[in-house]
Amino acid sequence: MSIVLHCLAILNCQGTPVYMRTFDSTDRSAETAAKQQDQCVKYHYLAHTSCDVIEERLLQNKTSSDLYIGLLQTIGDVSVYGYVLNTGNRLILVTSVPAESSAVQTAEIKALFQQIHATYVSLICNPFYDMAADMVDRLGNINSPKFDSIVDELVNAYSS
Amino acid sequence: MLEFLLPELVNALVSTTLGAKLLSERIALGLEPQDTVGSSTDKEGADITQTSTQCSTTSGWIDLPDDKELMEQVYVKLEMVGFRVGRRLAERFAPLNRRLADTLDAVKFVCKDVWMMLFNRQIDNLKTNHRGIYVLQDNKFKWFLRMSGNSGGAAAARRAQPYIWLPCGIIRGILDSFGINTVVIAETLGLPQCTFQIKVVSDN
Repeated sequence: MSIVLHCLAILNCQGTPVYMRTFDSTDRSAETAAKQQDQCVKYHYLAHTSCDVIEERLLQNKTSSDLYIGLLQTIGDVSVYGYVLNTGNRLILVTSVPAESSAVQTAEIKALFQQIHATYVSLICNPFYDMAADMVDRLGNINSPKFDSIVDELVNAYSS
Repeated sequence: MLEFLLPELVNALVSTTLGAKLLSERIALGLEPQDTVGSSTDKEGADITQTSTQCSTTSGWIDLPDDKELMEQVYVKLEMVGFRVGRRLAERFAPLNRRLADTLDAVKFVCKDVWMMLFNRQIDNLKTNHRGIYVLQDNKFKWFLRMSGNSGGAAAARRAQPYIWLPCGIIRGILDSFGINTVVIAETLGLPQCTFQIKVVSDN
């Protein structure tokens, strides 16, 4: 039942990250600060390579009728899952390689993605969310504490 | 309820655009100092707001101002309002259980789901030349159902122009959020019929 989530990234249809959130332990000691930087860069890199895999998959199954793409790649000790919205945004989840059967894992990850999708939609529906920046050059960033807190709750619910 | 809000929205936009235009003309003529652009507290300012409120105190205006430039500005504003609404609509109501594979799917989504949600009915007729042009025809466009004019069909159709710009923007916003760049033009040959023409603009 427990999935160890490392990172959630949301990229827009051109591959620019709109939201990046890591859920590793937040040790604030000096030695791990550089390590955290490395982790951050590593997740950025993973998100971008996953973009390429997503494009491939989308080209392959033109007749797929699901937003959930599934396991994109497994690199080292992490696996990356993808979910593409109809509006082109990609949700990418980086987790630890699971110890149990993949069918169970798939169902849970899919449910988690659907809930993140719902949270994202309610963020967009907020009239105070500045979509204008997003519209002009598609580089808007999601800076909403409420979105952050809901994502935190979801992640806690799924990791415990 | 949207039918009641819409005339107010169009009215408000026309009157504020008219007010802004008159104000900028007066500034250009030197009748007003430059810094009253935000406020209208002096006497000349009161004149301007009076003209623009004349447009909006009656529940519908007497006639569209004949000013082409003004109506262009109103068109741009209304269409942008529709565009932003369309983008949010697309995010909120895009199908969750299937993927919209190509442009035709997206246009069908507009014809069926969006129209059903906004107007409780579907588009009557969809034609395409399969090369990027789609024509959507609605024979009983909900916002036009209650419109009729004293002076006949053509004049009423002309007065209904601003009301049709908003759905154009909405359609363009929805298609844009699916990554399809379009130009949407609408025309009406007789209320309550209305035709939207969607032209896909390719990026090359």
